[in-house]
Amino acid sequence: MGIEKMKRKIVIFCAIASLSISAAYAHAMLETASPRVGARVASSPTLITLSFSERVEASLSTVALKSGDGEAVELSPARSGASGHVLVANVLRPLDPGRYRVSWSVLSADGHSTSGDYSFTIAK
Amino acid sequence: MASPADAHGFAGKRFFPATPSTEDPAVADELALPSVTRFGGETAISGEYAKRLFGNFGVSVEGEWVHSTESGIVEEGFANIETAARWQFLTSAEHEAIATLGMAVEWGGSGSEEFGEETTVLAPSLAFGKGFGDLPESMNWARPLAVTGIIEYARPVHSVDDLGDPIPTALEGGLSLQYSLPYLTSSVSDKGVPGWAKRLIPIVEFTFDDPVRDAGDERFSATVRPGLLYVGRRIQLGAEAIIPANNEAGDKVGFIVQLHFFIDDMFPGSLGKPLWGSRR
Repeated sequence: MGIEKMKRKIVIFCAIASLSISAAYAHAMLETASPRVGARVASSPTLITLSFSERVEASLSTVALKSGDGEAVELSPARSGASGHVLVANVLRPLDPGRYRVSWSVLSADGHSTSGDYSFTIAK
Repeated sequence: MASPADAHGFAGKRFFPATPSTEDPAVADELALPSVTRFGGETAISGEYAKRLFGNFGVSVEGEWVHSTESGIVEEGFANIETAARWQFLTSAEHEAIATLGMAVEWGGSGSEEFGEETTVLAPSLAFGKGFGDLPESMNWARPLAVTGIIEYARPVHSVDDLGDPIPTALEGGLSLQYSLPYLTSSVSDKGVPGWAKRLIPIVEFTFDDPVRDAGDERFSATVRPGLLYVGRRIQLGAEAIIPANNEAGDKVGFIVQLHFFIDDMFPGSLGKPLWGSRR
């Protein structure tokens, strides 16, 4: 097989394959968050909002919040937000200034589980 | 519910991408097709399919077509077929670490006369991956970093070919250093990076080939391979330059480009899951 013929086949293959490229993971990955990952915010948030690259099963997913000294902060159970890609949890009491860590664990619609965490800071 | 260390290259929140030039440490259902390499007067087009038999044990088969003008004449043909079995014996979500033992077999005589040695080569290997997300937050700049590596001991079944020339036993392998923008923006700091950039992983790979026995005229050679990976929904694109790191590796820069399919994401309920047992 000549190299030109092989090149043509590869170009055709890549063109077809590139049609399957999408702007997200099939494993649900955190795309945006509120409060933002690593952010310094001026006041206590009332909601934790996590937007994922895939649809997630809210009933099989969790969101947790801990203060800088490791104390758990009570949140409402996670629920679906504006779309199936979004998880929302209410912060049930105003938070004091300081550093907080959000931990999440989700099950995406295709059955893959992913988890992660990030910090944000409430300014004094 | 599956554990967080789930499928192609996850250890906790760390995703280890497929590395174009060196074997990555994760056992997964995946297809690398094509990998196109142009270096040292050779163009090689290869494909590799890997399949999990159990959650942490898989096998793979790889083929390669080569077009060479290295010796001044045009030669084309297939390299020997290579198969491998790999066992991912360590997955630490907390420490973002993976380690894998492997045994590859290059089947002598399965390729064209020009490119396939007559003897079979056995290559046990150890591969690892380590993310630095467990560093303290005072070192946030380093937490998106990860390293992976593999070392193989490639030993031919026969030490000389039909003409009586030695077939070297070699230590082969490589390292990769990766800076994961997906990790940076989802776990460390998201300062408004555009969505497309959140899927990029700049990478530098280092490869070496060190004939340690029956070397003949062959010497230690090494390359440095800076590049970029794009991790999409079900595929990954990768491109790297290939820069000779010593005289033995040549004097011209080459390249490798690779299209990689995550079969476990494309077909999660059938082809993309282990044949037996639960997926990790």
